[in-house]
Amino acid sequence: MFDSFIANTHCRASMEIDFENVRHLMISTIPHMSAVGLDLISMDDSGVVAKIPHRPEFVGDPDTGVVHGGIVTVLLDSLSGMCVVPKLPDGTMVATLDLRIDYLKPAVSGQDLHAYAHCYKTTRNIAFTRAIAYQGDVDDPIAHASGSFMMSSTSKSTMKPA
Amino acid sequence: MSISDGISAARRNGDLQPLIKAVPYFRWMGLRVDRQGDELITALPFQDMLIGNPLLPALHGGVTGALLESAAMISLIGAMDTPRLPKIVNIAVEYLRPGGAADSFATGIVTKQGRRVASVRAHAWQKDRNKLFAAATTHFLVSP
Repeated sequence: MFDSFIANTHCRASMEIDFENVRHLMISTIPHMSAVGLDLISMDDSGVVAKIPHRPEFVGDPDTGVVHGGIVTVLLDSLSGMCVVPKLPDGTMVATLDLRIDYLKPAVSGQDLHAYAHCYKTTRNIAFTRAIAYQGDVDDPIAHASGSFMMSSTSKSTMKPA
Repeated sequence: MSISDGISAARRNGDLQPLIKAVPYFRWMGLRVDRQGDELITALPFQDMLIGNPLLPALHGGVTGALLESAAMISLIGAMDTPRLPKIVNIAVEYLRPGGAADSFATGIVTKQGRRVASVRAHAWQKDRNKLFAAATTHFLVSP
């Protein structure tokens, strides 16, 4: 299932894909994306847009009702990784090397979280990404992320889990 | 219980569990905090819903970032003397190896506590504390 998600995602670079299929596969194959309710809105060579609808259990500060930074991190990390995939040859997987997030202003309580990510440079081994998280206005983001991703040629990475 | 009550209780009797319970996101993730000597260890018991790569399988990178941010904040609260929740300014996560499908732990080291901003380094590990799977540099605003 996960392989077919990657394969389907790859098609985007060269041809029209069944966007609804990719959207469905992402949720059904990646448990944490499903758990947070991440919903893919658009995906092409120029970038990826998605949202996480607000839920009371995502609140990090009960005094203000503002969402925890962890949910922002999950959204930005997911999209930063996904925006690299259409730029790669088939069968290539990416692993996050690092991700830096600047929190630009407080989130508004009770509102859905949106994000946009794009890959602005790839080298033989590394892909570089930028992303923003926003609520109402894309020009007034709540967070900015820059990431770097290592590419590996096989779907089963040689890296061993901790 | 409000956040400031939770922080005050933590300071009074050293028990951070009420603070964890006061934060809906910590409850949802299943975070726990244990004091080991001078250290506050934030534990994230493994659940299937934390997986981001079902092939390896490995934790979602966002989950790893969330654990490091939470551990940094919890260790900072333990080191501070105001009942205010620190506000995250930025976090830079280094992914050293994939987090496996296992219980994870993290702690923060306050490298500098200023009047307005604190710098906290965070480390995360699974079975072997000497084999970190991720680390982070974080900054928090500690006064309004």
